[in-house]
Amino acid sequence: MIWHIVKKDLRLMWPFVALLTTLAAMQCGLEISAGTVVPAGPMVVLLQLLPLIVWLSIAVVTVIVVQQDNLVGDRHDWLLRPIPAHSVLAAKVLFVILAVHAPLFLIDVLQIAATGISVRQALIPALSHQFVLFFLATTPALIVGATTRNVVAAVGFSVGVFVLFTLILFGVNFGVVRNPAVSPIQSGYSWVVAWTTFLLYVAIIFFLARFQYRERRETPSRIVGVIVTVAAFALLCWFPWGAAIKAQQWIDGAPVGEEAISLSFPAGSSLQSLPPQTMTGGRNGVLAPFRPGRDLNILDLVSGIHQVTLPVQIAGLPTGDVMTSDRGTFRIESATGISLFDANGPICARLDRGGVSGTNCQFAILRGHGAPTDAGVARGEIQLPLPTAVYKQIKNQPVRIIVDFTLTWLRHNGSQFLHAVNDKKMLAGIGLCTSGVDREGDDIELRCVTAVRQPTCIGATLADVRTGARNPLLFGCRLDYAPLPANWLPPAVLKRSGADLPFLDLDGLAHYPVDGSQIGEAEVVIDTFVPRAHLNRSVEIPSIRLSDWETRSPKPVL
Amino acid sequence: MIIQADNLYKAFGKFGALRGLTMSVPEGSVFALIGANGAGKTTTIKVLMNLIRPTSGHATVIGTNSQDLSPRERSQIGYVSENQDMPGRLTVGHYLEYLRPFYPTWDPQLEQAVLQQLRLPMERKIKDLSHGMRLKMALACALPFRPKLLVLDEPFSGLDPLIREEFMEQLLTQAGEMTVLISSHELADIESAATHIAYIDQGQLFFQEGMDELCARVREVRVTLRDTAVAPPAPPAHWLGIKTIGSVLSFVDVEFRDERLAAQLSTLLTGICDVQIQPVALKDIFTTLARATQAGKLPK
Repeated sequence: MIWHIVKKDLRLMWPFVALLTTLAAMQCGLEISAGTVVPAGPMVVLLQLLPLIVWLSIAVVTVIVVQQDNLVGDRHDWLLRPIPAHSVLAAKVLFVILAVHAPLFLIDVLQIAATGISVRQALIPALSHQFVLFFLATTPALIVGATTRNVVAAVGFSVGVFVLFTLILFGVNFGVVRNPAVSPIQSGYSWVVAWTTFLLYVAIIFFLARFQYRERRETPSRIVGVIVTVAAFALLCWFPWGAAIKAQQWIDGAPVGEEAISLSFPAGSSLQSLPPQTMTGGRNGVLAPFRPGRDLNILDLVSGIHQVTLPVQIAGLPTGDVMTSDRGTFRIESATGISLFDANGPICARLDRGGVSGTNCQFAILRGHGAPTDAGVARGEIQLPLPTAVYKQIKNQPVRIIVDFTLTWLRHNGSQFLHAVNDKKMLAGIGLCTSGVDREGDDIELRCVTAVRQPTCIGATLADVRTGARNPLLFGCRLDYAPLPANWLPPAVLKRSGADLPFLDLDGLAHYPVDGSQIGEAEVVIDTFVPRAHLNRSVEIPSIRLSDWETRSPKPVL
Repeated sequence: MIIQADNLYKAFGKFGALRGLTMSVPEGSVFALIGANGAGKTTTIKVLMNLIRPTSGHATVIGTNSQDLSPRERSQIGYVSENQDMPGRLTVGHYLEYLRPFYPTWDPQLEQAVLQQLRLPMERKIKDLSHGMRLKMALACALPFRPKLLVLDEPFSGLDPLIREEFMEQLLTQAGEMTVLISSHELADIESAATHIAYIDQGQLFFQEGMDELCARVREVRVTLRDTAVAPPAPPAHWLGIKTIGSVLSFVDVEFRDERLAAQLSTLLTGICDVQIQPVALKDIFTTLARATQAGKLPK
């Protein structure tokens, strides 16, 4: 019976399916023709819009197919026929899987395989992409279709929910910007949050759809649907950190060799003793979505936050490895042990040369790769945001600060090479990459495209293999500790990343070890880093006066 | 009883579409549900078919609570309505092909016979059918599985007389043992077929009975008087539609009994020259009842 209903729907829906498949095929064609580099102009807009249009089209097709056997209203012929409601629901789901997701899956496979990996390797990224689309587009559309009378009503209802969401998002996002370390969705644990939420959401929505097909009570179903969707969104924003970390640790198993790693406040140090900072990013565009350190910003100033900058050092980290911070909390006590301030984050960090301050106040400490080390110790700074009123009140008294970090230790996973000029190569784990001199003639443009999940952190530099000279490392992290070997973030299956590696300062103010004269022989060295262990560390800063540390106001180099 | 409704209430907001409706449809009957527009006929049928839920009350259809009708019971119920939404982009042939497997008792030969008689264009999309064709299509989808209960909700609405006749002809040909519940304004069409009748107004049942009993108890009475006729000041409640033209007084007696009428006439009127008693057509019964209901004079 289920298949019989599916066949009827195919007969009715084929023009919509054909249109959707054509859109997806167009997107695939554009992605393949774009390769690693997205040309400027309308192509960029198309490549950004088409995945969203496909996503929206999936939702619309789902709504239409559900409403072929409409549940809302009392005139629909099928309601009087001996057709089991659960068979109709099953038929709708099967239709969407077979007629919508299956063709899109094949198009994804084609698109991914076109980047140079085997069809077999392309299956998992394509499948995970379709899973995500199923969760994010098909599932909500299923319940919207089942509780509205027609597509116009469905669109109206969705717009209403969207407005509600926008308002919630605005409120939440404002909070998150001010307090980025609060949600694990902003960290490498985001996959735990997202997939848990997705699975719960799908389970509840399917339960609700079953109820709606059995009872045909659209008003309660709609209300519950909206509540569940808002709750799913709330779960994304306020997922408990403890649960996310436990899930990750359960997946990873017991960490090995992390006991030797310690984080501490360098006794007798001062910020002035730290070497000058070299922030990477900005114009140079480190690999993937990194921005230069966002520390003191307008929001902080408007909201009256005073950032206290303190040094921190990490010992026991093997040379070449990286430590990233996922979360930090701190509390301040008086000399007599009375709690003065208890913060749930955020803690930003600025680091030594070679280190980088990442998005949302997460930080990474990189040892080796040109970063200065003192007897095996890597150094950096942390920034503790304090309400200005609190700061003024306690700045002149001796205080004790305890900072608790959730960290991830990433091991160096090897280096790969690409000729600096006009090379194109499939790099393991990174994707199809190309290199070449940019239009201005001062940077090497490194561009990569892949559907496979890239290593958590990537460093790239120009090196002259004959002389051993190396330019400063560009380093970036896309914190994602998902066990899936695929990009799962919507909407597009292919993700592009890249970096501009400078070798010439057109103003003539700086000189690079690997410069224009060597660029023909130079290579791009790409270092990759993958998670090795997740650990918790505390830093205790005994008896300091905050006013002693307020001299420096860091300014990122853009 | 194939249908039993007890004290059904259905409210749409503040409007009570059904107000304690109770009725029973005997098995094998052709049961006509009549009433003015907005009386609650369609709502009653929709509640019985579980298309809408009653606010309170209870109904059974083929021995099952109407709210629990399963595919098993539905495979024994045919339904035809002027407001039936069928998949417009399917052709007539494809839709019949789609429906067939859902009915274990679907008879392909009967289907062919019905289609031949109704002359439906198999290749045409449902959305391209005229109103009349659509109703014929709905009938063609309701008969081939030989339903135990056939429900027709205003099936003649907007049909021209030819199609109406074809429709009824087809229906009567195939009726056999099935029970037919029909709501219609086209009383002339159902008069010859109906075995039972129920009159509802403002969501309440005013009466239900066999057609023969109804026809036997409703009579038009014309009394010719010697002088100018004047309506009696306090006529019996069962005299409806009292009219006077010259020396003739006419009314419809909805509880006609020979002896009682004679007694009442002799008591209330003087100078009676002639009394004519005639059966009343269903249409006229309906009109009289509807007017009396509007005037608040209909005895329950």
